[in-house]
Amino acid sequence: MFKTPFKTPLKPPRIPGKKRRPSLVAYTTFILAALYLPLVALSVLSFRGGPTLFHWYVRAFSDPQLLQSLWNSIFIGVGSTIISTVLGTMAALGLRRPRFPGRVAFESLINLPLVLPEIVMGLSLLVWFSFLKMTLGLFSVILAHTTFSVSYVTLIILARIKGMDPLLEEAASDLGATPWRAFWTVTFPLLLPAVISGALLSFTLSFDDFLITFFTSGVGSDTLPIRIYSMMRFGVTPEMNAISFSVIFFTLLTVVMVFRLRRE
Amino acid sequence: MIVETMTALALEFENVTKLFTADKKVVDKLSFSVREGEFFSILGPSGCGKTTCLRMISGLEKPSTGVIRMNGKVVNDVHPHKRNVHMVFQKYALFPHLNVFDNVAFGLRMKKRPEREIRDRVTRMLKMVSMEDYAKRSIQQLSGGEQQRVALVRSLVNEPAILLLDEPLGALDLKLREQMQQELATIQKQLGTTFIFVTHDQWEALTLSDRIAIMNRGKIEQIGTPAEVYEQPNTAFVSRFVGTTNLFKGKLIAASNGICSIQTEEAGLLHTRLEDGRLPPPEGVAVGLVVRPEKIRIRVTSPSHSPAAASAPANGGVLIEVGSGAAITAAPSVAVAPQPSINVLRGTLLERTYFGATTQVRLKINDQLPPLIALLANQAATKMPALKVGERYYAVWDAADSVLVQDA
Repeated sequence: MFKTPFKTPLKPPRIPGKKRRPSLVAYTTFILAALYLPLVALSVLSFRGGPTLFHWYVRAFSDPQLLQSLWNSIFIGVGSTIISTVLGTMAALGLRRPRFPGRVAFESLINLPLVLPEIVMGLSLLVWFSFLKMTLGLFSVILAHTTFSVSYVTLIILARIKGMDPLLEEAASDLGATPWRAFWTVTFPLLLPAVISGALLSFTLSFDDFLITFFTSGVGSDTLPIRIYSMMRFGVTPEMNAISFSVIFFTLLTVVMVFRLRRE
Repeated sequence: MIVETMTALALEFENVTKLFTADKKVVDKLSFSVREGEFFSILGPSGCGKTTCLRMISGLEKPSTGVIRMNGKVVNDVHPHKRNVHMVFQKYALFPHLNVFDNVAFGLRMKKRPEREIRDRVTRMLKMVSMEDYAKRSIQQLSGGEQQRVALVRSLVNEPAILLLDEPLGALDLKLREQMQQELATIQKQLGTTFIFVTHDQWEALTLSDRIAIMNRGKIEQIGTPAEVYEQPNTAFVSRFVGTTNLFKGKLIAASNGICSIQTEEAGLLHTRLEDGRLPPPEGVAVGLVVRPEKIRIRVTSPSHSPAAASAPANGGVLIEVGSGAAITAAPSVAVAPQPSINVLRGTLLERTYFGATTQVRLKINDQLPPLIALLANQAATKMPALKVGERYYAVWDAADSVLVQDA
């Protein structure tokens, strides 16, 4: 008989004396089920009950109000992502300097939005905007989202900067690069994965946000989460399942991308 | 002196001081100069300020006071990218997002050279270190020695007036290190570039350099050729830092005919020859006497009776019987010795270590003195006395083979 030269084990070899623990398996299954079964149910429901598989999706994406809110969400997400990524990168680069007046205060303030209850932020922003007599709309929501996403961007880029060899920039300047060129040819390309993952995270946060948006959006600037919430008052419709699952799908996609970039 | 004014100076330090905080002098009033085309090493323990020196030459740090000149021009305030000086960093600092070729091409691209010229020059440089097949590799795929080579040519491709090397071989294993040392020496001779090499490895500095500056606590203790700093250390620190040494501390009691007599507390009176042209320090001053292990001979019998001593001036040997206070009683007889041209100490053999070509011997003279270290060439068996641990032997060396140092 013909023999294969390689023996590829199909299963990893069992380590003798190391038993499988059924309790652990059951516990893990339970936690995962609790987390993800609702999502599975949602996705199944979004495909069922219509004449065709994508019936509710077609219906959902032809609802002008729902579509408008989706566009608002994307517009606000992109806007706040651009602002917070630029500001966050600059803040992180500034924090490279070991000491400057107000450094400790600045670092604490950067961390604050992470722990501050959203309701407090939303309310305070609303009060502030009305004090400034600003019309609430897409622009005010972009500003509001930037206030918290800039913190996430800064922290992600800062982590990357701390792991970076400061000698690299010195080597560039030693090799004849002006400070400006040293930044663009060496520092920035090395920071790019963190910048991108910060930007993706900031977009996701903005896209998902409900509370702060609720306080700071005006007439005609409803985002997708707010639109879905207001539709809920008339009961859950299959269209909402479809749109929710679409959101989950795209969020998942960005999260996967963030993780892949951060691993590099 | 004439020679020095004729050769151009690539670099001059004049009273350069660097303070990191108000009271911490990292570099303290340093003055030295490096000639064009020289392989100049700065040797010192970690934290002595040698890396700070390099960083000031490269422009990454500014001196607090003092003047740095390159080719006669003051460069204190010239930004690093405008200096024709390049540095090979300790951990290479290669750009991880660029491949080998782009790393080497970096400096030329910053100078906006035509792409064609860049390709030629980079390829030629990679060939010089036999890395031409690695051009497209990423940095992470290279071994330590390969990264080292890339770091070296990344600087050299820009044809710097001065190349600074900050312990570039520190991260390599011994064998690779020796190989890279040779490569460095060859490249330096081939290109004629001025190399300023910082290291804490004494052997590396001795084998590679034209001249060595030995630094300690921000100051230069001595500058000289490898042979000068090894054979004629100025200070106790230099003698200890460069090579193994036996140091005796004492007071200078007499200096005549180029022979200095030093009264030591632990080993009685010892003699040393002063180098030609060097003025003896004032009598009574605290000094040290240094003798290298390989200058010491071990004798079974007192040298005044042995045939070896016969070649030396007759009865010139000074014998100090050590132990039970005998050293003190021996001292007066020493002072009247007519020709103090050799030194003799007696002690018990503590251990012998076989090194192949040489044997190292440690001799306990007395309780106060650290054991005397002697390095003996392993000659033919007939010429070697059979040394036994625990036996007493005489250690003998010529006064001319020991050096007077300012005591630190």
